[in-house]
Amino acid sequence: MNKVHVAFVDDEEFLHKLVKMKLRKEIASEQIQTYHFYDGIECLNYIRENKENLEIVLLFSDITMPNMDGITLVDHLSVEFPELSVYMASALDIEEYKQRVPESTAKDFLAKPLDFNMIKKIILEHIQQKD
Amino acid sequence: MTKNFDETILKVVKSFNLKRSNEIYDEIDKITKEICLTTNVGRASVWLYGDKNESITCESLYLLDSNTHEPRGNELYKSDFEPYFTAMENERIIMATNAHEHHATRCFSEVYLKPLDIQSMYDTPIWKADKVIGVLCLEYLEEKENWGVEEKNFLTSMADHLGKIYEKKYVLELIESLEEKVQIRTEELEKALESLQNAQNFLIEKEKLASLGTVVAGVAHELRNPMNHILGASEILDELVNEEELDREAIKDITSVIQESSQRADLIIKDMLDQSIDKEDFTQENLSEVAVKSYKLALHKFSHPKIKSLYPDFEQAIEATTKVARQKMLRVFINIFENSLSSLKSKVLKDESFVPKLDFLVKEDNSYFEFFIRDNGIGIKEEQLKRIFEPFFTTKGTKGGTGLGLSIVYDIITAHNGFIEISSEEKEYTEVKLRIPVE
Repeated sequence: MNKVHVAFVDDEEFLHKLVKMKLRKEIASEQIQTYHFYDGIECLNYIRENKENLEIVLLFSDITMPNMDGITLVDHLSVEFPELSVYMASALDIEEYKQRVPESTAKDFLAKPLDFNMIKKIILEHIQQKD
Repeated sequence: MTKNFDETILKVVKSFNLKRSNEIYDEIDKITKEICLTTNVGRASVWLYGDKNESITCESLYLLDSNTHEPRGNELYKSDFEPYFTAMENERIIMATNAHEHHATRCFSEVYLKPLDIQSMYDTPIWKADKVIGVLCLEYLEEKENWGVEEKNFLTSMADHLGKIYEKKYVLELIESLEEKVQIRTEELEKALESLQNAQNFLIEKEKLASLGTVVAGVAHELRNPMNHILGASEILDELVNEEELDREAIKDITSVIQESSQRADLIIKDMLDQSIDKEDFTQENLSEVAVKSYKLALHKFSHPKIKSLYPDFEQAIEATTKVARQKMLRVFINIFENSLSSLKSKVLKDESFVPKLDFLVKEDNSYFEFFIRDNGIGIKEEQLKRIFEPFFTTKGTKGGTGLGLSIVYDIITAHNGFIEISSEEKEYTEVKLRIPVE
């Protein structure tokens, strides 16, 4: 079974901590490896620098962040790395999100508060698909 | 004798010092007394015409023998003493050696002259401007054969001086009634000002509450994050404690997330309550970040999709860290952004094809941070632009606002030793420029 590499982009420190907690068993058993970024620029730079051997396949991003917001990040990623599966997460409700980003290239939209079970489920489904 | 007349004239004129209209009787009494003392006449009096010259009223009457003034106010009517009134109207001076026989004064004989033992009379009209207003009346207890030129001149001078006194009194009365009017108006204005100030304070409070409402909405939004973390953490905690082997490290970690998130929620609430407290500490804040936060708070008020999806290019904004009152500056930016957004909204509602634009730019220039907030909304009329910082000035009518928003903004910016300028062209654009010193 291959390890799945997942990135989380959010300016909230605690979100990263909670994700690591939630997935601690999968991380410990080397099923999942997580990457953590605090804004869009940080994430985009990392992905660009490692594009030759990029292992990240799944990405969860917040919308409202300093420096580069999630929508801009997704715009870049959909052009440069279309194979990446991106999930947007925001405190906006789905209607507001559709109004703001009518043609989003994100795979799905997750409303905040984030359901960690849902995130875990998405990742595990991804592992199964790969297998 | 000649010297006496001149001396008296000089004395009377020199000592004339009427300050208030009600001091006039002192002046008149002084003159009737001086006339008696100088000319040795038994009785000297001043009479003034009443309405339409139908009567005369005694203003002052001095008696040489008893060295006293009689009570003033005695009134004589034309209907009783017709010949005297007629003569007064026609003749410059009434000179009656025998007052009992003289055509002008004999009407007084039985009722007035005989009881008082008056033999001769010499009456000089008192002129005020071009009008006779009364008479200076000398009544002799011994018959007087003739009056010398000096004496006549003296009496004419005295009568003229009396005219001047009454003229001065008239002017003083005008001034005094004006003063009284001014006094009354001042009191009225003071009352009006007081009620205005009360109204102003009320409105300022109202405005504070209104912007507090915006802040509360934003704070509610802010509180969501820590609440979500607490919720997420408690779910994970639930999983952790249900595991067969307790992972103490993990439990400790997750507990700290709950604790710190709770503390943060507490801080946000404290921050909000600080809004209503005026003693706010100045702290080092990045105003670009404050602007971003304000923008998000301002956006909460709007639901139109074209407005809701507007997002200025905050990413290009340079860091603008300086000493400011954070809550006050939040209010400044919220107010400016709300104005821009509602201006854009008005234009969107009028014209479906209109593309709203909102630009935010920060520059650093000669120890000032400069912020430019520009929208392509409905703009501001030139005459309204002049009054835009006036308290209570609003174009939104009673439904819109109190008209205090920008006035409070102005006060806050001024309190930071900063400047605010608004330029605009109707239907085209509005640009707000803020300058805040770098400290």
